[in-house]
Amino acid sequence: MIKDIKLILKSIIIFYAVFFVNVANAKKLFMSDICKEALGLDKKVNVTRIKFTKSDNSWPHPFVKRKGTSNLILEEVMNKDNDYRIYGHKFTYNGQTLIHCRTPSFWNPILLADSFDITTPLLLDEEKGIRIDIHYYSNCGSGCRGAHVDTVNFVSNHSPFARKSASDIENAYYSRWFEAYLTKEEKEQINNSDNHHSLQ
Amino acid sequence: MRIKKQIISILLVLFISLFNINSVNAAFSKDCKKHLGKEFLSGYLESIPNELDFKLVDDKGLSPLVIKRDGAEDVKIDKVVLLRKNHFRIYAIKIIWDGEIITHCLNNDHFTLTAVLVEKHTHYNSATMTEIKTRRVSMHFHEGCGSPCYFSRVDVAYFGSDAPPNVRNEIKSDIYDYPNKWFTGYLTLQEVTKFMISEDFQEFEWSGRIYKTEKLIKKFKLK
Repeated sequence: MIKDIKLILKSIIIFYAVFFVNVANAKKLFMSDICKEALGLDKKVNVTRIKFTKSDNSWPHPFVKRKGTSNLILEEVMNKDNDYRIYGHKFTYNGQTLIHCRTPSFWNPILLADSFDITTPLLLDEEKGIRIDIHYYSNCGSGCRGAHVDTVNFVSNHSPFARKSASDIENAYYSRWFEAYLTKEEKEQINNSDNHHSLQ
Repeated sequence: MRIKKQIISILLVLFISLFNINSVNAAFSKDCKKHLGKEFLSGYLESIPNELDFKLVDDKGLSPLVIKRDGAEDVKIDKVVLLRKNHFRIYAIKIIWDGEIITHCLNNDHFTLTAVLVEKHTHYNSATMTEIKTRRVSMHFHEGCGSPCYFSRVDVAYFGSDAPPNVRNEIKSDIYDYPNKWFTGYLTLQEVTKFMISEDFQEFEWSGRIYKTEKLIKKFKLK
């Protein structure tokens, strides 16, 4: 009898421990809406249940870090739940993690991380954050070359998020906006990576 | 009698063809059409307007800095306005090049057009593998979202490609970002200085460096 009670108590403790760990993780782990859409998931899905493994791409994508972003950790990941692979990036910054992935029509990403300070309207609070611009080659048909940029934002303690920020379908690879924003040294860093880039 | 009829028909055909030659290809941008449709449905407009209903205007509410790069001086930028029933106004930019006109509305009362960049553009047709020399007009907006506001967006008008002129949104900021860093990054240092003067910014970041507007005014002899 005492043994049974002990077993029940033990099970309850384990259940609560697992439950709270999951809740705590869920609050720190996020997935962008774009990624959910690429995976065909509902927006309210429990992100902790989606399996991402280390990406199998041969060489890392170019990643430029500007001042104030040294704490940002980047991992290249992929999901194999479907009959095809969905590739993405896992960003960890100040204890928060966001997974952002791309549809198969966007590829060869270039990542640029930058920090910023903003003053919020009305409350005039100073908030610090970082943003990561991810520039893709977008294949839009036969012989067509387009560019697409998604931006991941980590702002103070708010939930991180990602949105499309620029696109160009006028045979414009690289995006003229993104290319002009990079410094000469950053372009060199990207061109010297093993990803066949040739930014001017 | 028969000959008379034939002469009249020939004259009529000639007149119609002449009219067609002189006519221009005018259209509203997709966003503008949507906005005008909404205004009509909500009762602010008595009918769906056409391009001629927009009248030229010289208003402080619409005074963007216009930068024309070399070879693109032939693009005409007109500031126009449509008066609504309740005296509110719908501002728009009418862009004219090579007999084609596109009118792009400021589709929200909280949008301010702050800069227009006009430049040459080469459109590549991947099907026919030919290049077409065209013009491209990038419009930089300050998006109103309360006080103070920092959002920005860039809409771009493309001319003379395979399709009629059209306007597409190319940049939209998702956090406080004004002026748009990509737009200012695309401008030359002299152009961006002009922009900062027009927007009254004392200093700004460009290509990884901080610049004082006052110093650049002297350098480029802008005043």
